[in-house]
Amino acid sequence: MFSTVDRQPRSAWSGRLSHRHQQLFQPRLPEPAVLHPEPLWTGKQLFSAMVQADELLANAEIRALICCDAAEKGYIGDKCWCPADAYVCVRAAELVCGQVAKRTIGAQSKSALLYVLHREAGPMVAARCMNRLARFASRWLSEYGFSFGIDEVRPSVALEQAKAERIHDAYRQVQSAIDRYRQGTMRPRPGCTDEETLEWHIHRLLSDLREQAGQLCLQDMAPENAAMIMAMSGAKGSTINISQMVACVGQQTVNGTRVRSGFQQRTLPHFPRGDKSPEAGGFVANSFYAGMNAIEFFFHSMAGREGLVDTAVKTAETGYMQRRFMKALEDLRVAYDGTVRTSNAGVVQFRYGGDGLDPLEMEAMHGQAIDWERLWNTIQWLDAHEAVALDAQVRSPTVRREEPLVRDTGPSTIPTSMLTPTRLLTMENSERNKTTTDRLASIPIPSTWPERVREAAAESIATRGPLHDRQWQRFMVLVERKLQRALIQPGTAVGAIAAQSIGEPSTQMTLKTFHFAGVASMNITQGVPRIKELVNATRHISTPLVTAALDKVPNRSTLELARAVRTRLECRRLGQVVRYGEIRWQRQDAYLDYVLDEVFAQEQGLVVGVNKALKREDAVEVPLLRRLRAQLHWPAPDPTQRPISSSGLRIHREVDGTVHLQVWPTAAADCGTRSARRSSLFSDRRTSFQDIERELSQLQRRLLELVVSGLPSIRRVVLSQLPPSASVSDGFSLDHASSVQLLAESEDMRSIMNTEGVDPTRVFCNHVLVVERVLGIEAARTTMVKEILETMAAHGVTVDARHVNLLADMMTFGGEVLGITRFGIGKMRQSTLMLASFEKTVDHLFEAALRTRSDRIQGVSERVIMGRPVPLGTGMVSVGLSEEACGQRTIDGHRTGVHSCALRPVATVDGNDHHQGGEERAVSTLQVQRAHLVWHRARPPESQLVYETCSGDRAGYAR
Amino acid sequence: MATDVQVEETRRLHRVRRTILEMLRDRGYLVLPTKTDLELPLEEFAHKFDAAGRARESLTMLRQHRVDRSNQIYVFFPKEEKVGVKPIREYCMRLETENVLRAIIVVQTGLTPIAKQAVAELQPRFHLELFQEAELLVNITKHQLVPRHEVLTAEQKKTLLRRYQLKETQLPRILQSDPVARYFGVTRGQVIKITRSSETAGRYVTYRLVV
Repeated sequence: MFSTVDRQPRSAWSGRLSHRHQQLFQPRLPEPAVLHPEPLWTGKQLFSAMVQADELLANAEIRALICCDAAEKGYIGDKCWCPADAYVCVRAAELVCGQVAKRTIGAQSKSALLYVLHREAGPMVAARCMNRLARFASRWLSEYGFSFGIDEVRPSVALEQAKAERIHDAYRQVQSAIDRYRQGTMRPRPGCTDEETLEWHIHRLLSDLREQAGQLCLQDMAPENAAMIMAMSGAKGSTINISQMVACVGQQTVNGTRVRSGFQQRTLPHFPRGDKSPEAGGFVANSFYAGMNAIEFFFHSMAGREGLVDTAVKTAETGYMQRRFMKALEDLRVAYDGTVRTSNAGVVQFRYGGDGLDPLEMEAMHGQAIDWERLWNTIQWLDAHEAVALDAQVRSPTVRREEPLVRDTGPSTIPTSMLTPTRLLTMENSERNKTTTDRLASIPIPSTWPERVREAAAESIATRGPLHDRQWQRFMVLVERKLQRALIQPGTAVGAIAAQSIGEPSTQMTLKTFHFAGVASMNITQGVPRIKELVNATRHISTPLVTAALDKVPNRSTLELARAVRTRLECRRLGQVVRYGEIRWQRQDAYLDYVLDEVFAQEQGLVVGVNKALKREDAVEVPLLRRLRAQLHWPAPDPTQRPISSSGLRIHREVDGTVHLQVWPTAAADCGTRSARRSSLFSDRRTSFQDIERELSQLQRRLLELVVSGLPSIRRVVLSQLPPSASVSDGFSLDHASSVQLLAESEDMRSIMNTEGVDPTRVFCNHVLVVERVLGIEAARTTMVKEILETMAAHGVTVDARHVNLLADMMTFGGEVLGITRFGIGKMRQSTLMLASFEKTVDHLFEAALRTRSDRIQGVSERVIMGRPVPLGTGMVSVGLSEEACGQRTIDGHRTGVHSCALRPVATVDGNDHHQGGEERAVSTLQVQRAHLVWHRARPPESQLVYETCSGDRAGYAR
Repeated sequence: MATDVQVEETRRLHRVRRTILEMLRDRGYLVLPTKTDLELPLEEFAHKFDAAGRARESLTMLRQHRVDRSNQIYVFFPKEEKVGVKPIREYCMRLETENVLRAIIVVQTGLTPIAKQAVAELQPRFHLELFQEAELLVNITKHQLVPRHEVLTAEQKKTLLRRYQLKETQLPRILQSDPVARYFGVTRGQVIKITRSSETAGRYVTYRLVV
């Protein structure tokens, strides 16, 4: 908020800047922002001077790299012309506009100024800048002051009135919803009961109410209000906290819903039974300033308690999860050939993360290596100010000439043709409409860049329009340099980094469940429990869900098709279609008579089947009856035998128009003629009427449970209309042409894929083990990654996909999905010491002793236990002497200085066993260089070295 | 006139037949991409099937490998819902007399335990693969989640192991019972090359050893 400091005269301005910083830096006085009537300087200039006051930044070419764009909290729109001045724009370390706050000098975002300083000018420059800002801020606060009192949160009379009105309105609407529910005129939402629908309506109305109250309150607050300053600058609190203090605390939720009835159909004994009103459901209309009444306070405590319990429980849970991640991934590292390997050199990934880039070095969001926007800003600035920058360098003698911007990075991967001045890239408008692949073909981008980077580069060049060759050259050099830096280093403990990068954010995930996006009432397990389910590879997950896209059928609307498919899938039981039923006694006969709810059945797309064919009692049986018969194991009717109803089931329309399903259990028992059957049941009186009645009512209960349509494994199907532009965030996007999706609460993926009308190539399931069974290990791996990332994203947590990919690769690399549990890790690893250090110590040790197991002491845990260096990073490299070269002598050439042995360069990636048959191979110069291994001692010219790039048992020789 | 149960069955079999042919094609057997072979329309199929008296045996196929003409494969469609030993024996005789070493049996629900045992006993001599009808209604390799799988030749496998200086056991694995591995009918020790599309890299190639 420094930039809000008013324009001030020279003395005050330079006083602020310099004397408070003693000898830390010597700022250069810039041109005053206002010249007349007296020279005045602005707070923004002050800030800029503080950022620029670093000797490294005196170099114009480094300074040019310090560009940053960030929208601060109150951002309204229009970029630099934002009315709230909340768009921070920094060009060449000069604050152009915007009020500096958390997003610019905080650590959260990759577009932050301090991050850019750190990336482009180095950690020391960033640290020095932070130091200056911190000193300035604390001095300024101690002089100018900042305080917070009760006045800050006192609502105005107008606000009180407006709030009362809104509350009155919303309460009335809630009441009318409750009335509709009581009268039974409420239209249930798809897949919901009336009760759930009502809850949904109330929840929506009340959260709107709180939202509105919050809006009113924020409009009412002055921008210089201390609470607002804290919220907008990102120092502490949010707008929600303010509106809770000033206007309305809002709905209290316990277990994701309104407060449940715990006192015989009411939440507290103060309410009448069955009360569904906002107050009884835990809505707190008062603000913290006004104070809550006793009932509100009680509900507030309930919600607060849940939060505390949740945090306490989650800490333990995620802690344990993180420990298991660590144990499973600890010894994964990048080998010298770019693969990710375990300690016994098994390959987990052939190229780390797919592109071999280090997630730590990614500049932009979503794991992108380069922030193109910033890159172009830099290039543009350099372009526009080239002359000025050069001029400045010439004029100021104190500037040390730093390294040139264009540094020789060895044999360049950029074709020389691209760097010639004649190269002028122009993009016609027509070319802009081309696909990325076409663009890639027309733009000379080195093929050594990772594919995604090439695509993004082409994309960003294409949107820029014509470039002149100087811009083009700068672009290439900058990108090349950034990519060089982003390559992952061999030896990096990628496993341990992944374990922490997934484990830590999962501790931040709050709330257990979330409502499903788009469709209410589909509660999908989220948060820590879901992550736990996924990484444990749990056999029975709590909310399995199949997402199915629909086939494209000509001449048929998607919605219509979706309804038809839903009927084919969703399990409907007879009891749901029947209005009522009874046992009918006739003189000599008894049967079950059900009146079917024809309207409901038709709504559900069920063919009840009173058609002409049936009236004639034809041999063709309607599907409904056929299904019932199959489930009852009753014999099929004999087509030659008419009427067909004599086989025990009949659908029949009465004169009054009602449709009846009639069941003669005796008729089915033996498929003779009707009279014969009648006699078998009644004539010989072998059973009493009580017996018959009991038999019939038993049958009745069974009948109501019979499936009339759909698959028994699918409890519920909901249609979901995707917005046209929606796509799945993880790379494979759904086809947007058919925007209707089916969501089925089921894990029967195969049956759904096999259903006609469903596009079998776009059926997804959130149950990883089911996917493994149906589509194989690769699909399971993809699903695992997607589910973990989506669960994290739902809680606003972003994790680099490379970490999650590594975890999923580790879980699937043995060919089956193994959980990160003691069983899964037991299958992933052989080392007894490692397993014993994890869980069930005695069992593992006992087993090993019994079977005389040996341990190669290669993994991290084993090495730590034995007190030897771990095989990661520099510990991965070891120097050994080749056996045949030194014969039987045990020579430690390094320490004793004996050079008589012949050393031969050898690179082994299969560290173990290479004396048992693995041949020694010569390494290229590059590999030797990259082995970080320098053999300093003078050695005879014929001497040779053994480089073991992945540890092995030979490591012992050198140590 | 066919009842709707029969229509349903015909459609199922048509889908199964198509998947089987695609599977054979992907394994390198001779399958023509014509309307008479792979692209046979449902109506014609239904017509043919009805003409053959709706006997599943009429669907039996024998295909040759595109390159290695001596490599042939039989596809059997037993008519029993639960297949017993007897048809298995018959198929064996047929394989024996015609000197065919591989066969796929498409069962409706499963095998009787004795038949399962019989198949296991035949395994070293003949390569018998069992598929359930429900598994073949859809070609899983076309699914969006399933990346491209290719089976490496022995030569390619050697090159791979040399390239990364690997022993066989150091490769990632895929089970022989994996749906995609079964689709390609691979045997233990073969290596499958998998080309995924990846969010970070665009295209990512990995290999899995069949175990």
